[in-house]
Amino acid sequence: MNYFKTIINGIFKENPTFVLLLGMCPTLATTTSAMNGLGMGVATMFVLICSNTFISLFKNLIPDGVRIPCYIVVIASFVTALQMLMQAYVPDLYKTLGIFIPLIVVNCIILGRAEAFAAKNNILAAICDGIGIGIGFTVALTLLGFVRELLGSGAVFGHQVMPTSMNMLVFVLAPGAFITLGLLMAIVNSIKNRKA
Amino acid sequence: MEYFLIFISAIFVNNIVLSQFLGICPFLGVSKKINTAAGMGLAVTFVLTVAVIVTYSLQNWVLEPYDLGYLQTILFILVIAGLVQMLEMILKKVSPSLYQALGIFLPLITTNCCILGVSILVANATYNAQGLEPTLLTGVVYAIATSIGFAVALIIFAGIREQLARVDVPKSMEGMAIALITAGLLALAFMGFGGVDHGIAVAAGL
Amino acid sequence: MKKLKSNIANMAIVLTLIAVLAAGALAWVNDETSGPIEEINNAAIENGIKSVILGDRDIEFTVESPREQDGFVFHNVNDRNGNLLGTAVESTDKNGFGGALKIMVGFDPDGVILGYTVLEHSETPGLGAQADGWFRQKSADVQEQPVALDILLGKPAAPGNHNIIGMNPGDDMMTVSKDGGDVDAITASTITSKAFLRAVNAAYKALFGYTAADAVSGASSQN
Repeated sequence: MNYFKTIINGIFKENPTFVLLLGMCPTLATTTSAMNGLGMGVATMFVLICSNTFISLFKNLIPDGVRIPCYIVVIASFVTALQMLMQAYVPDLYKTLGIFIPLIVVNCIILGRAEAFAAKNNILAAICDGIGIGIGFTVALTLLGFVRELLGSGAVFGHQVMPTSMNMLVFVLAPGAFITLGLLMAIVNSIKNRKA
Repeated sequence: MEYFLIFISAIFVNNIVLSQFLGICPFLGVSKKINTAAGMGLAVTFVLTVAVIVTYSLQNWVLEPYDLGYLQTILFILVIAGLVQMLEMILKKVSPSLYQALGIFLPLITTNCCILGVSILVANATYNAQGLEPTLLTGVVYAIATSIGFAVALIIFAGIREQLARVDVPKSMEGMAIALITAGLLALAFMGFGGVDHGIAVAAGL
Repeated sequence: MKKLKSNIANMAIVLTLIAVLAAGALAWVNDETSGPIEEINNAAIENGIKSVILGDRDIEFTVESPREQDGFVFHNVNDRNGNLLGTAVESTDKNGFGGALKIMVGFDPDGVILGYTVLEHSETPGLGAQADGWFRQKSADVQEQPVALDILLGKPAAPGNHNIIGMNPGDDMMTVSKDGGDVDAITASTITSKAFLRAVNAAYKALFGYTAADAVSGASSQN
């Protein structure tokens, strides 16, 4: 099953956060809790799947000379649509993610996949790629959010599991984002090294 | 005085990279050498200042009067992409030496989220203007201050990484992992500036 | 199907077509979502008014149409006989830790604070962002933990006085204790706390014309 492989590939071998190192801004900024990480991941996945589908569908109609501006317009439209939908139906998440929703436009993952994958493959493969990369991104963000929330506010998905006096606030703040991601990356590397 | 506070706040207290998380990609990507870091910082200052002037004008004289707020993202990103392209051409003709210095960074800037991010913040007046009215002038001051903050963070970080390159780190920590943890410690150091802007404001009797 | 060539005509037509298509699609989505968005914003204000005036009380009430003045928005709330229950005031302080801090605070007709809610803020998560709960926590429920943890981590700090519900800015010094006031600041977030209390005092002043903090020291309300 080739399509299945594409999806798995996006989650592990080409994980956008841990392997491709793309889209770092939302990864660090929005993962103060597992729920926020999940929300950002799903929002990005939505845009990624839509833009991959659209671009793969119309790849032959877009001349090479204007392909980047066309991709940007397509991505920006999906992002704006998403922004309005979130504002209407999940206002709390919209408020928390704030400026990072319009900034999905400049997330290198989306333009990168449009250029490297969707423009060269058929529509089904492009959708699978969107799903795979999207899930990979979502998993990474949720994991990062989970660790930061647990250490920083002693909670798991908003449920308090440790007394507040044991909170290490720094993990919710900016430095904690860098340090947690650095350590998670080191763990991923050491697993990879052991396999090799 | 308030303008000075905007500078202090944007460079040290609420540094765009280390506390607002905008422009992380170039921060991690082009920070291996101090020279390139300084070049990138200069290019961002240039583009961001021009971008804020253009996007602020568009927001106030086109989008808002015609009730087209929902086209903000799409219009801003196109303007920024076009602007970068135009700057590249102008620089090439007018100042070849500057073009040589900034040329390679310009194409990277379109996808630098600190440009689009700050443009949106200024257009929506959701940045910290230190109590001033969010006009075009404060917006431009904020944009310049932010990009200096970006450059400062980038150059300091490049300095650390130049030293780091000579150190033996554990195999799993090599590359991005150790860079991220270093960035975390730098962010921690910058947190020490917390409240400095308010202290100055009080001292100046504002 | 063959790929379109990159000549000027093709490029211009395709780019224009995509831009027009995108703008059209967005206009449609905007049209579809503007209703729900407005409903949600209205509901947020309405819930805010209900929670800051009524709290847990369950009584019939009506809200007069809002009155705006000098950047404040006043919502008068009446019971079903038309008697004034209280006024909810939207108030903004521009100098929070990360920018503006917008709150809604409810006063009864005598000026006693019935409740408050934070509408918009850009404070640090985990620190200043606690404002939404901090200023209504009664001293007793500040911190409670098992005895074993007391031994392990030491006793939690003595509960301070930071519950502003029931205070009256006309009689009480609504400033942080550092400035000689009656309210303890959020731990490690004095700037947010000061901004919050300034917003409360400003709301009271806009409604009643004076505050106790004003009369005692002009200095503390300035910084």
